[in-house]
Amino acid sequence: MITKYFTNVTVRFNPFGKEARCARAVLSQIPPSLKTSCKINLELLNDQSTKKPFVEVVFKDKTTMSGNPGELALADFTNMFDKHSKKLLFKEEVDK
Amino acid sequence: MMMKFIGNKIPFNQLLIRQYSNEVSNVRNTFKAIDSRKTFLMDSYTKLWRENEIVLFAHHNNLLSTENENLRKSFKKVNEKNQDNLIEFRKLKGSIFKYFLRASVHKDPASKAAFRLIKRKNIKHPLENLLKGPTAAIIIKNLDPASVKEVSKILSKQKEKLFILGGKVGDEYMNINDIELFKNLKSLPELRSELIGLLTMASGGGVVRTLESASTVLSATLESHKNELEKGEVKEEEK
Repeated sequence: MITKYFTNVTVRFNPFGKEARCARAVLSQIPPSLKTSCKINLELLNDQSTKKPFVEVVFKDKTTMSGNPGELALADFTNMFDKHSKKLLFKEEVDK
Repeated sequence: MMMKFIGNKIPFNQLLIRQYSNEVSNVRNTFKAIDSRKTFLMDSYTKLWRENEIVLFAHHNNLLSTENENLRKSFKKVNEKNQDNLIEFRKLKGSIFKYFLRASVHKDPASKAAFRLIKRKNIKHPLENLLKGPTAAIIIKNLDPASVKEVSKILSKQKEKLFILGGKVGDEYMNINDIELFKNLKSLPELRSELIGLLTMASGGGVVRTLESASTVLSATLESHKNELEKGEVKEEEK
């Protein structure tokens, strides 16, 4: 996953639910080097909470992309985010 | 003559086999090789699970070596202050710990018998969902809410780098909300003394009397029954 252009990541999941695997995998993709440039919002749910599991990423150019980790796998998220990251990468190369 | 002797007694080679099989049965019959890494881990997890009252599971997120070191140092500091309730931080091997949780009902989780038991009864464990990803265990020896409070104080600085997901407290399995409630409780001896104080006070007297009344009534009925029986026996003897 290209995480270079992330500025804000929101992850919301129930650790006992089936979405936990994907949500935790997304979290672990973000390297420690992004500590200063990327903000991570984390919220843990429990059985009683009414909120739905949720993953959202805000890119450098303010585009937001989100999905439900219960329905999508890590590979789906990677594809989705990388598509936009590659565009940004291309733009950066051209601007040089 | 010779044939008869052999017929009565067990032949020597049979004897050897029996002796050998006895020796074999004393050795542990483990699912993986007895000197393997997996058996070693299973044994260490068994010890961890059975000897400690509180085991909390936490997600750890790409901890740098310096962060790791700082974390362990802060746990060590807490341990130095409170010598009789030690806290340990340990990263787990998820797949093996999941298998251990399923096998933990068996006396020896690493054995072949435990494996067969899991297959036959299709055992699942409520906490195994917490092991889907990089997981660490925070192990506390005694059932003390104050230690859990210390741990959550240390982890609150880490934020999304390391956070609690749930765990085992005593014999119960808890999620994050239960743990939040638990850490604000007083310790068990304090709660007990409070309860006793409440019961010995004048208002609690009624409770004690009601609880005692059932047993006193029962003993009185039994006593009278015994007396009647004794009287009956005396009359029969007189006849």
